[in-house]
Amino acid sequence: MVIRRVALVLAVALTVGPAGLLGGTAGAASSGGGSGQFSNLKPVKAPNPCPNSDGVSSTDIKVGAILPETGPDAPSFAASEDGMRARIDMANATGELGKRKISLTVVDDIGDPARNVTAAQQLVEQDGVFGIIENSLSADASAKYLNQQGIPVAGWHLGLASFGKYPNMFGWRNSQPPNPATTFTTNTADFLKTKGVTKLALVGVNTSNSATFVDQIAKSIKLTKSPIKVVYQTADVAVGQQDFTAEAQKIKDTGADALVTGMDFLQNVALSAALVQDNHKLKATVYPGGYDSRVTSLPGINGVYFGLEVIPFESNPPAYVTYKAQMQKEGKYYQGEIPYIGWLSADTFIEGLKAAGLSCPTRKGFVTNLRLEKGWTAHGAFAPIDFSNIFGRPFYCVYYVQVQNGVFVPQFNSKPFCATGVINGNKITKLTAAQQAEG
Amino acid sequence: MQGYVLAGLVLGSIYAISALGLVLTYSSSRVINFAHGATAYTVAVFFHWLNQVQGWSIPASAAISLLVFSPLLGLALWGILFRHLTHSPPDVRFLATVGLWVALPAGVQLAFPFSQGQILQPQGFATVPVAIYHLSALGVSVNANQVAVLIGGAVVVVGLSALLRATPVGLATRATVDSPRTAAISGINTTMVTAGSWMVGTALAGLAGILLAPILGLSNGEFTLLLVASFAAAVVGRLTSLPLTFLGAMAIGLIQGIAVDFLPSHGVLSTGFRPSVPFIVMLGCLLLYPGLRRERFEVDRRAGARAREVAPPPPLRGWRAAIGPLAVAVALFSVPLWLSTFWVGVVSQGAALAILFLTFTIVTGEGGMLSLCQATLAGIGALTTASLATHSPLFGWLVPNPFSSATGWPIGLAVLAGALVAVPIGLLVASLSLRLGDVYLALATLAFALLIEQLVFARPEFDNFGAGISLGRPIFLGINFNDTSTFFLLLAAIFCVLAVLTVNLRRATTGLVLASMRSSEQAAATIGVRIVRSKLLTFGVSSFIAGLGGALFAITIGRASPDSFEVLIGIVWLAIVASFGTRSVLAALIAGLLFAVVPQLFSEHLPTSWAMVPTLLFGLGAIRLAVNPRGSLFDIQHSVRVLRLRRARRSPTFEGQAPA
Amino acid sequence: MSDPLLHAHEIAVSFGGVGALAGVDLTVPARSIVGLVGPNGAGKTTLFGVLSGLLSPRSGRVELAGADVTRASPQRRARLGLARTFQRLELFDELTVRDHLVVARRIRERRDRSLLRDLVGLGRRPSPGEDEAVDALLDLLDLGKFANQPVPLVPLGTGRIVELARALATEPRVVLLDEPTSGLDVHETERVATALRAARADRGVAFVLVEHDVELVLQLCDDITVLDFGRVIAHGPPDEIRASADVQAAYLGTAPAQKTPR
Repeated sequence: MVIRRVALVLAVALTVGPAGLLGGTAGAASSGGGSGQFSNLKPVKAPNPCPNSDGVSSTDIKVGAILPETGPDAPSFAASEDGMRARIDMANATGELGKRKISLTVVDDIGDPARNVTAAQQLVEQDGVFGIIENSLSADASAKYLNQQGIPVAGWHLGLASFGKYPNMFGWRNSQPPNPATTFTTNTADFLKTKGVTKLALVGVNTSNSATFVDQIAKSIKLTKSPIKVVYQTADVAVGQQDFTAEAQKIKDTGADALVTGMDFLQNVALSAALVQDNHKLKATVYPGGYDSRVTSLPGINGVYFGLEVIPFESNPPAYVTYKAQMQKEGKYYQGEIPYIGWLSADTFIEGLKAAGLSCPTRKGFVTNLRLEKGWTAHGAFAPIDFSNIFGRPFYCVYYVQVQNGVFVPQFNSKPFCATGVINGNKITKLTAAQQAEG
Repeated sequence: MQGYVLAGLVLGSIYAISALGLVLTYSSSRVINFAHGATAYTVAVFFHWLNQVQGWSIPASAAISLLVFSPLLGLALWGILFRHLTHSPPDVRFLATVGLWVALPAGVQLAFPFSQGQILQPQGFATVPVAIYHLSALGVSVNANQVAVLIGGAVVVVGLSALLRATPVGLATRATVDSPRTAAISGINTTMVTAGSWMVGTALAGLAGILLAPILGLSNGEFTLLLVASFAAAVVGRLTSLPLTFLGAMAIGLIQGIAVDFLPSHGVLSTGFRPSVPFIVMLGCLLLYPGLRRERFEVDRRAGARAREVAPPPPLRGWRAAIGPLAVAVALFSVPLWLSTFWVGVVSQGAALAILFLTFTIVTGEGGMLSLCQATLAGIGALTTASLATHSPLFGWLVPNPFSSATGWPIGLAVLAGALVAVPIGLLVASLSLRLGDVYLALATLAFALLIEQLVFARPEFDNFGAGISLGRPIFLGINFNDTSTFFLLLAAIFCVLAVLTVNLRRATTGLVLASMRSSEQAAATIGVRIVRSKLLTFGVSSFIAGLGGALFAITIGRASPDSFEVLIGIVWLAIVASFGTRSVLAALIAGLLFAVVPQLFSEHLPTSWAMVPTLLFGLGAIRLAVNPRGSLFDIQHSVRVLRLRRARRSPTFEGQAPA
Repeated sequence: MSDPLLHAHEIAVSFGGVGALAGVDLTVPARSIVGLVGPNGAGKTTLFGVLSGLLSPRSGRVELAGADVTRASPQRRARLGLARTFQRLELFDELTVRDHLVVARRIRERRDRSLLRDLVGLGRRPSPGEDEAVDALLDLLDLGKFANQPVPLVPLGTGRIVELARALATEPRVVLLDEPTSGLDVHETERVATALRAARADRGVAFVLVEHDVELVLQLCDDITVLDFGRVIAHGPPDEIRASADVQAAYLGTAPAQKTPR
């Protein structure tokens, strides 16, 4: 029943730097990423004979999933369930897991922290699942509990601090620093610089997440000594506001030629419409989220850039081809990223099972061995990453697409665009080429 | 500048359309219809279904939606609910509409599942792609939806004013609301008039829905936010003046539009200012308008004065009185014996909520005040506790820890501190709002709560508060409360203690004084009751309990997050507690437990499409208040006592006396 | 005549420009029963509102026990010894008859500051002497057998007496009674009159009586003031008033209603 989600902005913050939720300072502090933290980790062997416990039986593996199937976050996440199920169906059908099949139990957390906690407890204590796939903005709520129980979790990081704090949690590609609000990369600022823009407008909603996100971009501009000037910065837009006449006027008045927002999909579309109405053209606009084919022909979207965490569909990456085929087989395919992300989350979970050893997966095996895995691409969805390396730090690289004449066009030849530096508080550290290659 | 003015005028028209509907309903029925936005949303969804899903043309869809569906909906709502509210006290009237606000969208989303998804670019009267008109003379561009809204606002205010003032129907409506009896005597069919005015009101809400959906989005949350903001415009018009409401709406919109040009990018005003404008205006009007203060004890309690024909059941005395509560206590404490650990955890959330809900038992049940800021106070308690316990920054600076432990205050102490911090804030709100009458008090507390939510909970400086702070369980006296059952027993014990304190209070002098104030403030004043002081005291105690409950709830789920304590959720809580009975401690317990348990039961055993049903049920429960103002529990208890008395046959209290 | 206990001087009240009272004086000596009569709408209840502090006069002065209470709150007047009953019963619906007296007495004794003790104590804690005092008052007004009844269940006449009892429980010096016999039959009226006389004899309380039962007024009161259209048109002892032509004219020429003589 939560009416106004403070963090709805993050629903589509696939992008650049964590528009983060600050998870508090208690708990195991991460050293800030890098493989050093896990250097003492040794791979765990699958036990023989297999105890068949913790949700594993001789014939199946019980897996839970938590996402907001209903509630205000549902439009942004509910569809990921289709992708999850598709991936699991494919694994079960092809015997990918050896003699076992996955049986999936999905629980709705309505986007509410209290319900998220209950959902996790239900799955672990009532349903006895082995591990959980989670795509929810409220995942921080149950993270500590799941960590204490040693439950493997795979899902979408969504800027949540728990993905950078608890090593039993695996983002399918990216992780987070434990303090996403104060540790972030300069990716957007670097990207804008390549477009030759000079005056930037930053528009955020009046939530602390969005305001922080927008502020991070401003800081990046400052600390990278960018030639770009921030001419308009606001975090005063009301959540859900759909009429942007005033903001468009201000953008025009200040002569901005670039725009970055910390708003959700619907609001971004409304802002673009207002800019068209006001006849103001921008050289570069970057929206977090909205990589959806319904968007491409809307007014003002032509020329807008979107940042993605995956290789764009238009380049037909192998993972996408497989995903599309399976989804079409199940009659669930449409060109949107949310189900794809569900697919990737499930794919990561299955990879963890495999890493633990299909003869007898154990939770400890999953969490340890997957963490040690290197070169993970989710079967060709993105450039390789090492799970031990990405943990606890912001992700450096992003894929960009631009809408051109009603189609998304991948930028930089579908190669990821990587930030030049990481900012911690007020200090900037340059990234080496080797670090950038780590993703 | 023109762009800002246009934005302001559009926003103002949006507020006006919504606020005028509110004022119309209030003028014709003395009900502040909290479900006005939900009604607008319902018609908008229906229109969308006809137009987009069924493929009907815009004129046809609009005609059916406004001329057939809306009036029928209004008639149905009148028949089920509003008809019963004419003789209810103001707080019941308000809470029943809250129930409708909860139930109606749930029902709509069950009936039209497409409305649960994200609807891109909902269509209104203008076809998509929306036409844009460039008015070079004015230096501004405006789109067709905006034009529709601007015209709509003007038409509505002019049309409604004319309707109410100049037509026989309008006169009949005003007569009926002023004095139903006199109106009936003079030949006016009051039933038809009231039913008719609800049908018109709903049609107007429907018009608002269709006009505004393209601009607001087809989302009940948006319509609710709009409604809450348009309360401000309605208050400017004192809930009765259409022209003043219109002007108020326009003023608020213009301030918000023009402010965009001047807002700084950093500092206090950079976040939350514009969304706060309506609430600042509302608060200003409520505090400064002399006419809204109670005229030193309103004698006008026509609507609710003699609604108490049913006498409260005679209180049980002696050991008999202890049976019921003892049975409940035993059942409560034995829960860990007959439920699995998981369910004990769920029930723990319920127990924490029950403690929280006692705040309503005190402020509304005992104090007779409708306060809509209790959830916010609970949030303040929770966040303060969490900050202190985890040594996080509080209000921007680290609070020194006198216990020489780097990790923060001991949690028990932090909880106490959290509860105490809520008290001065509650007292501040109360001291400014208490002089207002009935529903204006409610609106003032609502405005305060929303302001605190916007300006405090959402601030970047309070980043810690942004997404919640994780909380641990206490360990003291050698008992580790990380164990679910142990912690549950602690919660149960705290609830029982508070329940006993509440009942004590009720039966002692303070309780008698509060009871006297609830019945007749005039008479209470003349025997020397210090009304304001008593109410402040009550508010203070209930604030403490709110803070305490909030902190305990946060500890139960392991996280203190502003999301758990949103203002609108608090209003739902109040409605649910009221539907069981605000005068009963047991009602608070049942409400809390059900609120935690029922959704989980549904989630576990029923398909996802049923997820909205608990919400629907909670809303219906509150709607029942219209028929049972004392709450369901009272009816059950009353029936049980009546049965018992009939069986007993002889009772000294009923010896041969006819009721007055 | 000694200093009057309650004295209203040149009271003027208007509601939205319409004058309800103008130049009204009223004097109430200690231990007296003063009558206030007049046709409907004459302003009697309005004057009571001013006297009890529920209304503010546009001009004029009210003195109680030597203090100027014109702008004082009803609570302050209660402390100075003023109590009142209401034309439309303003009883505390959720309390029993006895509780009305208890709460009035406790406030009088300033025992309503005990929040913490109330929280922790178990149930009611009558102060020393409270039970006796309350029972005595109940007996005085013959309310004994209704003592533990919730007030919505008692008959109207008894309800009016409960209001009187509540007023008396605050140990007042003067009580304003607004139509105490309105809606009562002959027997109940007699009960009220008896109660009034008993209260005056027993406690030395002064009364101001607004009544439509003119015969009752003529019998009970020492002094009568007649209002019409917000002004005093006659003032004096009962015999004078009975004979006054102005008064008769004000009541539209009808002779005072005859009730069965005692």
